[in-house]
Amino acid sequence: MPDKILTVDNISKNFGGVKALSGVSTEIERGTIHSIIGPNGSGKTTLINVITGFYKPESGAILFNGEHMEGLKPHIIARKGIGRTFQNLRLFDSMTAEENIIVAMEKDMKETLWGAFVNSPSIRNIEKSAKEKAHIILKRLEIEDFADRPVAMLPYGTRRLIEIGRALGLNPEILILDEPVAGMNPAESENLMRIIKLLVEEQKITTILIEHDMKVVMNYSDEITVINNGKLIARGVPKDIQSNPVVIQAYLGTGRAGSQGIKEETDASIKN
Amino acid sequence: MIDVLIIGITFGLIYGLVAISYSLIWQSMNLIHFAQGDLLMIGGFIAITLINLGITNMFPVVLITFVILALIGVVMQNGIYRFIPQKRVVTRIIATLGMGIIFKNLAVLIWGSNSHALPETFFPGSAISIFGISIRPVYYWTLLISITLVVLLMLFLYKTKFGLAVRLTAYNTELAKLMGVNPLLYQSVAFSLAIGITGVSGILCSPISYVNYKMGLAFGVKGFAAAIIGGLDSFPGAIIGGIVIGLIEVAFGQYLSGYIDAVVFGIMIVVLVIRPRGLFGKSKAIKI
Amino acid sequence: MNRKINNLSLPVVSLLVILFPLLLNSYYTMRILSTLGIYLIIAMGLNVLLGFTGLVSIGQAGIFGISAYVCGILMERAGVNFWFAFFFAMAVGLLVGLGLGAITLKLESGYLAITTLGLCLMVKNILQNWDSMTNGFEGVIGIPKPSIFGYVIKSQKAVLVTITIFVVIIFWMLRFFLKSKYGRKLRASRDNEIAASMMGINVVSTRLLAFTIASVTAAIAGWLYAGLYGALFPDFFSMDLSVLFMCIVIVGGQGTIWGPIIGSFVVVYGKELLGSLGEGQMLVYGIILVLLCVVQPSGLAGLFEKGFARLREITLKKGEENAR
Repeated sequence: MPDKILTVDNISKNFGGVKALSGVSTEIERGTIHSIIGPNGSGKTTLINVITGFYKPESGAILFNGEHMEGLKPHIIARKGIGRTFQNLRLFDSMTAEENIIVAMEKDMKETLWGAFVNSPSIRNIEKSAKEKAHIILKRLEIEDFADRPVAMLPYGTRRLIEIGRALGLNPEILILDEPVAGMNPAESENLMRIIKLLVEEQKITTILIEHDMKVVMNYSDEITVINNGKLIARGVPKDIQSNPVVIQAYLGTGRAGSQGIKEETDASIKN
Repeated sequence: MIDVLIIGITFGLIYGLVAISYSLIWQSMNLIHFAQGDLLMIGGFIAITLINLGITNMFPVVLITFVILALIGVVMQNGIYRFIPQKRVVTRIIATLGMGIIFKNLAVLIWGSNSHALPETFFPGSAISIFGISIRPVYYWTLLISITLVVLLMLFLYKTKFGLAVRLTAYNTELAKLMGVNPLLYQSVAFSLAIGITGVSGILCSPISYVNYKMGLAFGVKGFAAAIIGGLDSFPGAIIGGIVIGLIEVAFGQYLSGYIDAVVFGIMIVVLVIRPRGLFGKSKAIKI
Repeated sequence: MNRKINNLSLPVVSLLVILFPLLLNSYYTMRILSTLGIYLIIAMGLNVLLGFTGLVSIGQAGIFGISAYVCGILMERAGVNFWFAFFFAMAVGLLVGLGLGAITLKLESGYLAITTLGLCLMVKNILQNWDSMTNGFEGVIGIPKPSIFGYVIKSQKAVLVTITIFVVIIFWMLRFFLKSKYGRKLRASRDNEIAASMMGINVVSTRLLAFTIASVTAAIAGWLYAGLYGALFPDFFSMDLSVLFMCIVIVGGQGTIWGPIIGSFVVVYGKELLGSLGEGQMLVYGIILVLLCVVQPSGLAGLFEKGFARLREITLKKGEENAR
């Protein structure tokens, strides 16, 4: 029986007079890669912001392992096990790569305030093991060499990987990736998705992917939710979505891959 | 009693003008301009200098002071503030503090540490009588000039294309850029107007309270308190906030004379706690 | 290997620093260094708030003043022992930090600047006017000198040694604090508030912690000042003093460990040099402050760090080239 780790139930979100989301509902199955797609401005990132607690929805519910999340503060939701990356990178630029990751591990590091002031042995131990864990994550992402480099000076692709590593530092059950391959060339995208897929399979992390790159979406998703104009317009496996007339109609207007284009691109990539 | 009321309202109007300046700068540049009070002081000194140079008529003095202060504003914004990115909130605040220090000390070096005052004859005309109460020119001219400034500002912002651009930049800088509006230009305009207004308010207080290099702090903070009480994003609120403070000052001035400053600041803090957006403010001031 | 040398040398240097005053003989030098030490303590706390958490407080002089007066009055009038008065100072620091912090930190960061400014002005106003308690402009004088194990801390040298010991202790405690997970939480909140909260950090309580630390350090400085200087006057605790503390932090380099130390030497000795200019001397500070904001917000320590970083990049690159 399918196990729903996250349920989005009839979520609506308004900004002033603008209806960013109207009654959106979907379900994410545990251990899958679930993509949320839709034309620009359709509400994908807004939905993510509602799930992660940045926005409070006007109505509806978000259930994480059956627990209500809507209206909770972002840091509480993060601590419950939902980690994310951002469309426009939001790294802690004053820190090194490993520090960025260790920050997210904070909730599991039991350092007391008094211990912190005197650098007690337990503090030193906790710091040491945190550093080791961070290195493991960096290794998985194949960027261990950059561990003690300040992130501000690192190349774009590496920064994207570090942001994912940071979200992983949270030890999340759900990992939300907001356009992780934006601005990357095909080789870099392939590399990143390969690493992510490996990670998901090894650690059984449920992944929600927001992406425009149809190749990536069709190749890697177990299930897809399609949003347009703040409404849910389709939900299903890649095969069904790519031939869904409503979905194709939504994309025709944006000038990106039209119906033929989506089908051609995905057929070609599946052949590879 | 009525005299006291008149004084309170007059000072209140001055605080209100300063408050409007803070509000204008806050709305257009997301900046709390800590140097405001010191610019008020500069305005007062410039007026005094103009009079000493022989220009004794009120109208040209007010006009010239406004222009000089507005130019100073242009230099400040384009020579300094522009170079500090918006997101470095702390650095911007400190830069404004630094400017305040600079103006204060320049004033000492240029005009000395003594207090000066404008002669009351600066304000033309004679005392008028309303309902048997005699109102001296300095008071009714302050009222007239304040109202004129506010009306002109509102007309500019709401009835001209230029003003529309300023408001758009204030509302959403990104959107403004997308529509081809150069945010720096209009922020400069808004900023200069605000500084000009502050400079003029410095003239208004000089016959009633002495002008000296230290006066900026009190007016600056009370003006800001007025803006907080009225609401940082409401111009009418700013004036009302100013009058409220002016009245409180005179009302309690008799009983709590030394403590009056503490009372005013205390009220400001209380307002920040209970209703951060002020009496008339529109947006919530609280962050996530 | 470099790090091991660092680990040994700092404790040794700290010990030398504490013993150094014993070598001095000039009353003038010891007097300046004592004041420098007090300012440094306040600046270190302010640096945690300003440099590492990104929040502005213009009220440190006010907290310094409240604590100094509370401790001074208790010692002078109620005969409270100096060392016992320490707990009152802590109480002041915690009350102001948690109290004021809880109120204002929910709001945008600019509002804290205003509130602390208001606090500072309120404090001075009250200190000047509450004659029955504070003696108004005449100040609180004749605060008894502290003694430890029977030895009275009276000479300028003893005063300086005492202050230096506290400077070193606070320096170490804050240094450890900043290297811990708490320090990272502060920096994350400063660098990117939204990302920090999405990574599980309660930004509001983190800021509250930082503000309380700044508040407690200023309070401790106030306690030391009251006990060791013996006389308090309200005009001293002014906004100018708050701005001076901010200058120290910024000139030295906000967000760096050594910044406050560099800054306090530059500012305190600089002020001595400029003192001859009379009124208007602060103009130089205003100009430096603004210049720093525009050109080099990370101050002098920032300059050094950039220099070291450059060196590091160069040696790394050389190492990579050689490896090929």
